[in-house]
Amino acid sequence: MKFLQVFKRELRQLFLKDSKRACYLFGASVVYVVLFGLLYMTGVVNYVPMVVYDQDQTQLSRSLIQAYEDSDRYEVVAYVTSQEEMESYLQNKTAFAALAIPPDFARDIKLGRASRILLEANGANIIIANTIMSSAQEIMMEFSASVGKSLVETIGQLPDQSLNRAAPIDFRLRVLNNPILSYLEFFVLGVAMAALQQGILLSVGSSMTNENFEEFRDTKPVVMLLGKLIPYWLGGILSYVMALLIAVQGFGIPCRGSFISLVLIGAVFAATVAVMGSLMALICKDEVGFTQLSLSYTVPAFIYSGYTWPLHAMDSLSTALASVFPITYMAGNVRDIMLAGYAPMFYGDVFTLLAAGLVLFIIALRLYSRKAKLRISRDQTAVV
Amino acid sequence: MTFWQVAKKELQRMFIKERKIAMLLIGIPIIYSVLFGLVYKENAVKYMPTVVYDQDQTPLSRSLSQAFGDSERYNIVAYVQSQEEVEEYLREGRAEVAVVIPAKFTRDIKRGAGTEVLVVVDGTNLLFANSVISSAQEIVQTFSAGVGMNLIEAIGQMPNEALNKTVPIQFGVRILNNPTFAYSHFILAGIGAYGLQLGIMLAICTALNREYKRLNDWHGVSSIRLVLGKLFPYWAVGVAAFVIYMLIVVHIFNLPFKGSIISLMLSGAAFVLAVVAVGGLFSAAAPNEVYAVQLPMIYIMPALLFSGYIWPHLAMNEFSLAFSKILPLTYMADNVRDLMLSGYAPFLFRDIAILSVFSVVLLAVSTLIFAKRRSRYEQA
Repeated sequence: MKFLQVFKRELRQLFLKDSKRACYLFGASVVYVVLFGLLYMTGVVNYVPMVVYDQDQTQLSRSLIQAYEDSDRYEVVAYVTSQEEMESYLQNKTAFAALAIPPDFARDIKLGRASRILLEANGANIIIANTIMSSAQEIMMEFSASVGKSLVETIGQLPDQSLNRAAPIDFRLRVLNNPILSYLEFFVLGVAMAALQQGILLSVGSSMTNENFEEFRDTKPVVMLLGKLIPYWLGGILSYVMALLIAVQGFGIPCRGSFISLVLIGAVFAATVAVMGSLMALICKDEVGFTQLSLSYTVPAFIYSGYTWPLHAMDSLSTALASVFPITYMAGNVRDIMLAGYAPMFYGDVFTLLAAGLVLFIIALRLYSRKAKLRISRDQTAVV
Repeated sequence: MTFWQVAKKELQRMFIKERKIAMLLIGIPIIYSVLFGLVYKENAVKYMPTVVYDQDQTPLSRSLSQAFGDSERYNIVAYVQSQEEVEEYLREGRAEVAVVIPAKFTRDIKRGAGTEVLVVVDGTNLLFANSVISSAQEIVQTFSAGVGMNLIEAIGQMPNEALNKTVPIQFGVRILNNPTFAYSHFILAGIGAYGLQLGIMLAICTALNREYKRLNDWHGVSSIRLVLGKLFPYWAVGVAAFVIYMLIVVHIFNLPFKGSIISLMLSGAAFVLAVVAVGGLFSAAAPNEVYAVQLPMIYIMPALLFSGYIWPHLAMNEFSLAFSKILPLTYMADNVRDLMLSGYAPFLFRDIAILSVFSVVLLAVSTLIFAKRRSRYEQA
C-alpha cells in the first residue's frame, strides 16, 4: 500500500467503521472545556457563609460587621449569642467563617486599650480558607486604619499625617496575568490539555490494538506508521484549536499571546502523544487493556506536569518523573501564552517534545515492523 | 452454584486467571496515594523565587527585605537595580515574585507622609498567588506595626499605648482543621478516593459484560445470584484497598486522623458499594467490553473536581451542583477529610444513607438489565 491508501483507510476506520475514535479525538478536549468552563464559571469563591458573635453591640461593632456584610466575599447567615452557638455553626458547616467581637470592644478602643477581634475559619478546604484569609485581612486593615486615624487625632495631629503614622507602611499586591484570581482561567486550560491527550491516546490505541497487520504485508513500515498516525495527529490539532476557541469565545478566557505559538506547541504535543500511544498499544493485549492503562496515566501525568503544583516545589525524584511526561512540556506553556502572553521555556520545550517524538517514532518503527514480520511468519507457518 | 461459589469463582478470576484486575483494583489507589503524597510532601509552595528592587537602600528598607528573606516562603534570588530588571526576571520565569520598595521609603515614613510596598506575583499559577496572599500581607503588617510604634514613641507615648493606638484593633485569625494550610492535608484523602474509584471502575468493567458470551457457564444460576455474587468480591477487595490507602496517607504521609474509625469504615464501605454498583451497571448495559470501560469515562474522570472537594459547592452554579449530585465521590470525599481533620463530619450519616439507596437502586437495575439481555441471548 502507498501512503495515501493507508491514510484513507485509516480515515474510513476513524469516521465510519469505529466512529467512537472520532468521538474521543474531537470530543474529549471540547467536552472538557465546556464542562469545566461551566464548573468554574463563577471564577471566584464568594458569599462564604459567616456567623457573627457580637458581644459588644455598639455602633462601632456594628460598623465593623457592616464592613463584612458589604463585601461580596461574605454572606452573614446568622447572629449568635453564645460561643457554643458559634462553634456549632462552624461544626455543622452551616457557616465557614465566624466573627467574634469581644465585650467592651468600643470602650476599650476609646480608652486606648487593645481589643482583639477573632475570626475563626474552617480550613479544611484550602480554597475557602485562602479566600477568607485574603479578604478578611484587607477588610480589617482598612477598618483598623480608619479607627486608628480618629484615635491618633486625639493626640493633636492633622488628619492625613495621623493616618500615615498609624499605618505608615501600606501594602499593595499586584497579581500579574490573573488579577481577579479566577480559577476559571487557571484551571480550565490545564484540564482541556489533559483531555486532549486522553482523546488522542484512546483513538490511537483503538486503531493500533484492533489492527490486523496482515494487510500491511507489502507496505513499508514507515509508510504504515505515518499513514495510520497522521489522521490522529491532524484530528488532535483540530480538536485542540476548537477547544481553545471555545475557551476564548465561550468562556472569555483571554488569549494574550501568539496564536502561531499555540498551534506550534499543540501540533508537536499531538504528534508526540500519538506516537506515545502507538508504543503504549504494543504492551497492551487489547483495547480494554489500553483503555485501562491510558486512563490510569492521565491524572498523575497532569499533577506531575507542574501545571498546578509547581515543579520547583517538588523533590528531585518527582521532577525526574515529571520530565518523562509530554504534558509537562506543553500545558504550562499553553496557559502562560494565553494568560501572560509569553512563556519563558517555550522554544526549549517545543524542541524537547520534537526530539522525544522523533526518538519514540524511530522506536515505534522498529517495533512495529518486527510485529508485522512476526505476524506474517506465524501465518506462513500456520499455512504450512 | 451458590452465591459464595459465584463470588469465589470471581475472586479466582481477579487474583489468578486475570491478575491484571486485582492489580488495577488495589494498585491504583495505592500508587496514587504514594505518587501524590510525594508531590505534596512540602505542603506549601515555599522558596518562591523572589527578586527585590530596593530603591531606598536604607537600614529600614533593608530590614524589610530581610523580613521577606527570613520567611520560608520566599527565596530571594536577586537584588536588582531597575524596573526593567524586575520585569525581565518575571518574564523569563527566573522569579515568580517581586518586592518593590520605593525611593524615599525611610524619609517618607519619618515625615509622616506614609509609603507603600508593592509586591508583584505572577498569577498564571494561582498557587503562587495564594502563597503570597497568605504570607506577604502579614510580613508587611507586622513590620509596619513595629515602625508605627517607633514613630509614635517619638512623640512621647508609652510603648504599649503606642501599639494600641497604631493598631488599635488586634486581629486574630484562627484557622481550624488545617492551621498550617498544609496542601497534603487538603488533597490526599480525596485523591486516594479518586484513585480507588478509578481502580474499581477499570477493574469491574468486564465483570458482567463478558458473561453474555459465556452464558452456558451459568446454567441454573439466577441472575440475582450471578450479579451480586460476581460484584461482591469487588466490594470486599475495594474496601481492603480503601483501608490500605488510608493507612498509607496517615502513617506514611502523616495526615491527622481525629475521627472515629467506625465512621470512616462506614463511609468507605458505602462509597465502594456505590462505585461497584455504578460499574456493574455500565458492565451490564454496555454493548461490549470496550464500551463497558470507555463509556463511564465522562462520568468518572471529572469526579474529583465536581465533587465539591476542591472547588466548593458554595461556589458552584446549578448545572455543576446537579452533576455533582450524581457522583458517589461527592458523598464521601469531604466527609473523609472532615473526619480526618476535624474529627466530625456533619453530613456523614445523611451521605451514607444516600449512597446506600443509590447502590441498592443501581444494583437492582443492573440485575434487571442483565436478566433481560441474558434471556434474549439464550433464546437466540
